[in-house]
Amino acid sequence: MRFAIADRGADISVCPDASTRAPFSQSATERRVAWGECRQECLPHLLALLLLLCAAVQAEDTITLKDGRTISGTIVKEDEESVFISQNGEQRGIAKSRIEKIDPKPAAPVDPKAAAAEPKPKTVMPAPAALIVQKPGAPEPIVMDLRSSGALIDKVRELGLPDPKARKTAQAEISAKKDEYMPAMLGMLHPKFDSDEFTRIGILRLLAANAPLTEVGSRMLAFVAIHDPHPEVRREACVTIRTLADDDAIRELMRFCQVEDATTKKAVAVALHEIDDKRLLASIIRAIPAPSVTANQGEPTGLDQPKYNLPVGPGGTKLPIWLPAQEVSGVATDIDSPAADLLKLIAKKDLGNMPYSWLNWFREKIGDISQAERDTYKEKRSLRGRMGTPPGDSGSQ
Amino acid sequence: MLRLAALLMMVIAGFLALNVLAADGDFSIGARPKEITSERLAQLVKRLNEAPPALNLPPVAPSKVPKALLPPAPVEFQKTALAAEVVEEAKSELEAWQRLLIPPHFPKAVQKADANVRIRAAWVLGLTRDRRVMQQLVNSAVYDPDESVREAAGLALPLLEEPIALRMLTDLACATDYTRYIWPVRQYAARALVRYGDREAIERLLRELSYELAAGSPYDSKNRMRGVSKGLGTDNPMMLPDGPPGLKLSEEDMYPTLSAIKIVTGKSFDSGEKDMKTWLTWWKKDGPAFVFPTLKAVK
Repeated sequence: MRFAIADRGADISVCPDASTRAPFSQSATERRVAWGECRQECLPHLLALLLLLCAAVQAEDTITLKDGRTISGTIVKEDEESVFISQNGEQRGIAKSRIEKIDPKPAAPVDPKAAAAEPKPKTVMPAPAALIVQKPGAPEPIVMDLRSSGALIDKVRELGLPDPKARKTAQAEISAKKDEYMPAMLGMLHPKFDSDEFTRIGILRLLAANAPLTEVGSRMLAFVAIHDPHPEVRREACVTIRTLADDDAIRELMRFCQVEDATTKKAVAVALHEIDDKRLLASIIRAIPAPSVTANQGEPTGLDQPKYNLPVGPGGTKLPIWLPAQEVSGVATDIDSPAADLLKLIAKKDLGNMPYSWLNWFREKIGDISQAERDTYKEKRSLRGRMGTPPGDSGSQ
Repeated sequence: MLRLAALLMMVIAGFLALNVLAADGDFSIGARPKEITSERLAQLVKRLNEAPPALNLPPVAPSKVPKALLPPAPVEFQKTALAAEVVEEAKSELEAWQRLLIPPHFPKAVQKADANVRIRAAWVLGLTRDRRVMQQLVNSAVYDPDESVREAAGLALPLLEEPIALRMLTDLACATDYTRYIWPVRQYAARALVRYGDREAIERLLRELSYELAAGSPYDSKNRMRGVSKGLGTDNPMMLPDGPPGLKLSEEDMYPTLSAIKIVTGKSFDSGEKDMKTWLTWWKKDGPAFVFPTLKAVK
C-alpha cells in the first residue's frame, strides 16, 4: 500500500504529459489521467458516430396503407398510379389508391458540435421533445417544440387542478384557443411526458368537448386507452372514444388487437369491454373461422367371419356375432383463433370457438333475442341443426 | 476498537452529509410530510362536536338530492357564515380533516371521531369541492359502519363534480370477486350510487349487465351457459363442464351486477329478470322519466 502511494506521487510529478507514453508502461494514475483526457476528446466523436448509426438504421421511407399496415424501405420510383419501394434489395409497387400517407426518411442528423455550441434550455423536458401534427388539408406538418412551450404547458396543466371552478376556467380559456393548444395537449398525453394523471384526464375531457378530432388526435386517444400507466386515464380515454364514436380510434384499437404481446392484448380487451362498441364486437365475431374436421377412414374389418360364437340361441345353439370395425382418424383445424381468444377476454366468458355461439351471445347481449326465444328455437330446430350446423349453412362446416 | 470507532465516525459523517444534502433542497431522503398531531385532531373533533345542528344537514343543493332523501326543513347550509369559515379551514388542512372521516376499523382512524363527527366532516369535505378528498369520501360511502355517515359521504360526493367517483362506486357495486367484495360492501356501493343520483350510473350498470347475463352464467345451475361448443372440432374435445360444480353461491354472488342494478333502479321483474332484453326494453320505455328509488333501511 505504501509503495503504491509513493509510486503514484512520483509519476505525477515526473511525467505530466501522459499521452506521450505507451499505455502499458504507465502508472495507474497516469493511465487514469490519460483515459480521462481521451474520454473528453473522444466522447463527441463517439456520440456523432452513434447518431449516424441510429440515423442509418432509421433512414427509411415509411408508407402507411389505408388498411393500417406500414411498409418501410426506400422509395425508388413514383408515377401517377403507383409508388415503387425497395425492401431488402427487392422492389415492389404499391397502388396510390391503397396508400394513406407517405412519411419520407428523416433529415440528416444535426452536427453534435454545433448543437453543443447552442445554449441549452434551463429546464430539460422529458420526451417527447417535439411533436409533429399533420392537419388534414394543410400542406406542411406543424412541428412544435415542447421545450419552448412552457406557458402553454403550464396552462394545460391547470386542467388537472383539484378545484372544479379552476378547471372550468382553464377549460374555457383553452377551448377559446384550441388550435394553439391542441399540439401541446396531444403531446402531454404521451406517457413519457411528465404530467400527472388528472391533467391527462382533463385533456381527454377537453378533447371530447372539442370534437371532431384530427387523425393524430384519434390515434393518440387509442394509444392512451391501451398504454397509459394509470387505469383511470385509460378508462377516460375509452369513455371519450365511446362518447365520440370515433372510427379512427376504433380502427387504431383493432390494429392493437393483432399484436402477439399478451399484456397489450389484455389491455385491448379491457378497453374494448369499456368502449362496448356493437360494430366492433360484431366484426370480431365475424373474424372467427369455423373449425373443420377432416376424417380419414381405413379398411373395414370383421365382415368375413363372426368375431364371437356365443351359446345364446334356442336349445343352447351358438349364434355368430359379427362386429365390423373401421379405423377412423381425423384432423381438426381452426380449433382456436385470436378473435375467439379476444372475445373470451372481452366477455369474461368462455363460449368456445364456434362463431355461431358468439353470434348468439351477441344477440342476447344487445337484446335482440331473449333466453326463452333462444330455447324455443333450440327445441324446434331440425336434427341437422341439433348436430351443430347453424341454419343457412350449406354444410361446409 | 479502533475499527469500531472508525466505523462509527463514518456513519456519523454519512448521516451529516445526508442532512446537509437534504437541507440543500436538491436531495431528500426520508423526508416526510408534516405530521398531523393528535392534539390538532382532538381540537378538530371538539370543534365539530360543538358545531350547531345545522352542520348535520345535507350540504347539497335541493335540486341535486333525490326528493326522498331531503330532510323535512332543508337549510342551505353552505350559504351560512359558519360554513364558509369551516370550509376554508378544511381547505387549508385537507389531510387532517380527511383523517376525521376514516372509518373506525381502518388504519389511521381517529378513535374519538364518532359517527356525528364523521357525518359533519364528510359534509365539510364535500363542500370544499376538492377532488383530493374523493377517495376518502368513496371509502366512507361504502365502508363506514354507520348508515348516516355513509349517507352523508354519498351525498357529498356529487359536489366534487368528478365522474371518476361514480365509476369507482360502480366498480365496487359490480365487483365479481365475491370473496374480497362481499355482498354488504357491494350493496352499500349500490346505495351510494342511488345517493349520487346520476343516470350515468344506470347506463354503466346496464352495459356491465349485458356482459353478465348474455349466454347464461357458469355459476348458475339453473341458467347454464348457452351455446358453448364442446366435442370434436372444438377447444373442449373432452366435453368438460363449463363452470365449477356445486359452489352453492347466493344469487347476489352469482349475479353481482344484476343485484346491484336492482337496488339502484328499485326495479325487479317477475319473469325474464335474467334476460338483457327485458332490462333494455324497460330502460327504453321508462328511462326518460326514471326517478331514483327511496332507500329503505338496511336489514
